[in-house]
Amino acid sequence: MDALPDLIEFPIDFVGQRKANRLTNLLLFSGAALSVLVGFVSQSFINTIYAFAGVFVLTLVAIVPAWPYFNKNPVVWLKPKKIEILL
Amino acid sequence: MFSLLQRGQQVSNQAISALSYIAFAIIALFLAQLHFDNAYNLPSQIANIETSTNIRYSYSAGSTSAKGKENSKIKFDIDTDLSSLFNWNTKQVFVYLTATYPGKSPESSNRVTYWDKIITDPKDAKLSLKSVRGKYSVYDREFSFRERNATLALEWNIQPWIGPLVFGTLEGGQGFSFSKPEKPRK
Repeated sequence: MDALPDLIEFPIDFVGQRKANRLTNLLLFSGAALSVLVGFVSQSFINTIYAFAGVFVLTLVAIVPAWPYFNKNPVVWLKPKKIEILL
Repeated sequence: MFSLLQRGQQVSNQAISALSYIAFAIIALFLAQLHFDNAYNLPSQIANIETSTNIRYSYSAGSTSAKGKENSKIKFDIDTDLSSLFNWNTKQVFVYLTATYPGKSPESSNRVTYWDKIITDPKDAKLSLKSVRGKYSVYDREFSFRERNATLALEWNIQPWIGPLVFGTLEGGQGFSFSKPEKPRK
């Protein structure tokens, strides 16, 4: 049963995590402002909701999968030193 | 933001925060629009007010004793335009005609509703009604209205999609006095 969380983990690297966080906030909050503007200009409440639903789906698609864009700076580990075993 | 699940949660959480900001922005714009559309000082005309008062004996007419209860009815014309109450956050408007008159003690005031209407479509916002009969037969807590003077006014209540209920009274209230009961008291 421990295998399932590992299977759907889709990790991204540290730099990618910062990028993802900033992109989420940028997309959602500027999208929210845009949705209010769309609703106000068209004088229709439901347009705001539709516009924000669109922004939400767009953000999910952009952020949730482990796009290669988020995995450009993988952590480089040191190579293990050879240990000579003295007998 | 390391794993798939964490990214999904972060996006949903931020979306809910953004929705609450959207809600505040909509409410602020809606209230500002009402203010700039002069919604709180809309004119109305109430004319040809005819009232009649009857003594009724049924429990549904407010009677709790053999003495009965004075019930007041009304007939009126109204002419008003409520279009500016409709903007993007208005679901429906409730318009009601009330009479306000002094209560038993000098500092109190009573208010009764004779008629109301629910407007859901901005196309129906222009009200021009002739010889409307009140929907409700109105009675006081006391036995009688005692022929007091009352002010008849149209009031409105906006029920928005989101945000607080907004209440207001139209200009152009008319004075009248409750008529004497038609049937003599027993």
